[in-house]
Amino acid sequence: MSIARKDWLEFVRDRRFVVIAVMAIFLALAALAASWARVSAYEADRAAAQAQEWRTWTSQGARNPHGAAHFAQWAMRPLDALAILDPGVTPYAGSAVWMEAHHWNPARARQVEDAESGFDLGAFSVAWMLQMLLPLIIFVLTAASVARERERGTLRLLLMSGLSPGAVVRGKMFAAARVTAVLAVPIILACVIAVAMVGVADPVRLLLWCSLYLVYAAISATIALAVSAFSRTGSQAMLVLIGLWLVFTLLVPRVGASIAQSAAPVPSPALYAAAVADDREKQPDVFGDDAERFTAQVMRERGVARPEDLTVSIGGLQLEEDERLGNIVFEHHFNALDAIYHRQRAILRWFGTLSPLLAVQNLSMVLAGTSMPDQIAFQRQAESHRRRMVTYLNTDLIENGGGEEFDYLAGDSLWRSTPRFSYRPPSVANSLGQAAGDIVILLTWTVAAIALLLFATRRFTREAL
Amino acid sequence: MVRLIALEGRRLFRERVGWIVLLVMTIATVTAVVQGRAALHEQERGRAAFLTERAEADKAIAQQIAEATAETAPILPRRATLPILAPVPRLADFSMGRTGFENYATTIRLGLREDSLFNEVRLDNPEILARGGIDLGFVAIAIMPLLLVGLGYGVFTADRDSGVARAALAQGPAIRLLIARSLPRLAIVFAPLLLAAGWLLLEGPSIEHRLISAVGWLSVALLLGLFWWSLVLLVNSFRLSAESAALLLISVWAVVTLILPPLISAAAQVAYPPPSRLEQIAVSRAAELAATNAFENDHPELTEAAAERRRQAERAVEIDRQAEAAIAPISARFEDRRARQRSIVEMLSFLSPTLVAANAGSALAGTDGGTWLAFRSAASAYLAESKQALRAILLSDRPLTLSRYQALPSFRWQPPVKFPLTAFLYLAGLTLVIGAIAHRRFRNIELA
Repeated sequence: MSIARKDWLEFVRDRRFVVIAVMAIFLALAALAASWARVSAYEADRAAAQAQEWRTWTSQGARNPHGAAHFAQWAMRPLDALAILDPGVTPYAGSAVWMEAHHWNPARARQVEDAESGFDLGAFSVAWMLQMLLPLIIFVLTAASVARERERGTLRLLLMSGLSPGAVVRGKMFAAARVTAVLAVPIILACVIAVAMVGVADPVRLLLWCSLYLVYAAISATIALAVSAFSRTGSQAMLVLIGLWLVFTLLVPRVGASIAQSAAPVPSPALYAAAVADDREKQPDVFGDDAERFTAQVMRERGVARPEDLTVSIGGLQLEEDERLGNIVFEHHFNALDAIYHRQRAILRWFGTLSPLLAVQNLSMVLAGTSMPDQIAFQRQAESHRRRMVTYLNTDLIENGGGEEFDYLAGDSLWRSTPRFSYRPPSVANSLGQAAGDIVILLTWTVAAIALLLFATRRFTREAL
Repeated sequence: MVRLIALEGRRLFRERVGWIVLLVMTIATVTAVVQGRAALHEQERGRAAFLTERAEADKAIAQQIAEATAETAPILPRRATLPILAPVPRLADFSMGRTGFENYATTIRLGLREDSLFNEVRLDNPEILARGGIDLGFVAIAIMPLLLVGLGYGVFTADRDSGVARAALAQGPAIRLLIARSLPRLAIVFAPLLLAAGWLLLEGPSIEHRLISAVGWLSVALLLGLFWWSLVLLVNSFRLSAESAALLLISVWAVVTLILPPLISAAAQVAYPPPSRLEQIAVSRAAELAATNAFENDHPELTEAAAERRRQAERAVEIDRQAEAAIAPISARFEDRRARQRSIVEMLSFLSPTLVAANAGSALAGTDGGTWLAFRSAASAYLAESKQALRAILLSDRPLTLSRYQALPSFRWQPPVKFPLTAFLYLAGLTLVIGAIAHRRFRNIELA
């Protein structure tokens, strides 16, 4: 413990540590304030836009239900209070889906398109700060921890004084843990307070999110200590650690993303649209060549001999059948697109074995509800709602539009009774289930960092001998 | 002098740090070249697919025109579509910038408005976009300075630590020593970058102004490298240990490259919040509904009477005009907020030389926000022009013939080529000032 106390005293007396710690905490608070402003503004906008959207929908006046299905509704994605901690994929993912008849639209309105930014290495948030800056600071502050003792010749003295190599490392570990705690704990406490101020958040998610970053900080500190134990001088340790930081945070995630993109390319919008259109053309056209066959089938099912004897709207039935056929094609193509995203994620996950950051990023996004699986859940729910809404409107046309067809006009009562979209985020268990691979990778990193430190400790033993 | 440079070079590689930096720089540039080429091919492939689609759409409309009857002719202008396609950015393989998520193509038709002009969303995985990619710009702006710091933090402080500083300075003028030590280090970092840029230029497509833009791009990248090296020399002139010099340089790098760019972006977004797309959607739809005010048939092809089709066409044009008029102030407000945000980001970017260089690089590459904004403005103007032409045909008694369709205005736009002189002067000035201070300090050390 005396080694830990001595190291701590050195840190406190070193003004660089105080300056860096204060700056880091200040930056984290600034990041929280900026994220709070961003999420609050987004949520206020979304609530206002969604309310206006519903007012517009319910005040359409007299209109054909299918005209209304074309006018359609918008689903806008709400953000959880935890999104102030980690924006995840939300700046790059569409925040609204147009749920119109005949089309399964991808999400639009991506924040990144409207944000003016030059060069940045990520969205400024407390998660970014903890992912990128915290390990850098830990590396820089603890780089010389053991190496400097060796450089000054005090390591040999410590070992000769009867201290075991394990006791030296434990002392250094305590000091590093204290430094890490001084940096990380105030930031994490500020995060908890900020989330509580924004709204109601799932306490389990929040607790897991905070624990995740404590584990990440611990992995960083353990690696720093091990590298320091291996190095001859403090500056050599610092250079190696900066090199590792460069690889872990800047190179591996980007190289991984680039390789994933090349290995599983996403089709261009033109190719995708063409493929969907081709498949749609191969299906029966209930408004064209197959109209007679379809009408005959409807008459058979309804037990009438002539189309004019039908009490329902044949146009409505055609629309509903067209939707059903279209949904098969859309489902097929969206599943194929999802499969590409899954493949890309799987490839990217493998790069997690080269950098703990990827697993941390994935878990952080999952816990904040801003991951790609959350985005896909939103888009899927919007699509389910679209189908429900279009069927609801088509049903009204079928039941009430007989004889009038497209001249039939529905009123406000229909619009008011149309189902409203509400997003249900996936449960914690579901989210974590999707990130099981990342949990395993992070645990492996924890074990590997401890093993590296133990290996470095054995080196001390050799030095002592 | 040449012998001294050779000696320093040999020493650098004997200490292994030269090999390590060369290896990291080579890996980074090779990855950047591979990814840059892939990104460029992706852009070309996407455009080729779009043009293929367009050729088929043109064939389809030509067939519809040829087979038009008195009943179907009035709705043909509503079916006609026209393409908008941005050319491949000049140096998309050097600096990808916003090419990863900006829409470069769209199809316009009657009824499409400015606010929904680029609604055909790109399908790239947001998870991949959030991670970013590696291009030559990233290597030059983020990695190269860090490697220069690694190579140079002890260029003189190490001599001071080991007590041989005076002996080193006694060998000759300080400037001679610094040049001899600087040149091999700068060569290790600059050579892979220059080779990579040359390779991309040789292998890349022939695009107008590509060569001159690449020369400008390389000038900016090398100037940024020289700025960092002048800073390294300045820090070496302070009475610091090698470890403290490394810590100071890494802190400066972290602030300038890592912290300031996203901080500036976040500050600009808080000061001038980005325009709300959700609000725009909701307000536009309310305006559209107010203009529609009654049932509009979305399937004109299902209406059989020609007179009814004609009446619907007139009504559709009127609704479109009213909706456009109602949405115009919203769009203007939207653009105004965006312009304000842009100007504050531009102004604050001078706090970080990294940001200045990055902006200049992407502007030369044709992948920056300004170029995309110019493309969008040109697309909006073209939308207005072609809608006017289509409306004129729709409301006239003359049908849409093939010759009239082919005579419709076509979209022609070339990204502006502007040499970022301010950025160039700013980086050059900063480098000269810091370099001069460092030189003066070394002279003082030498005289002392």
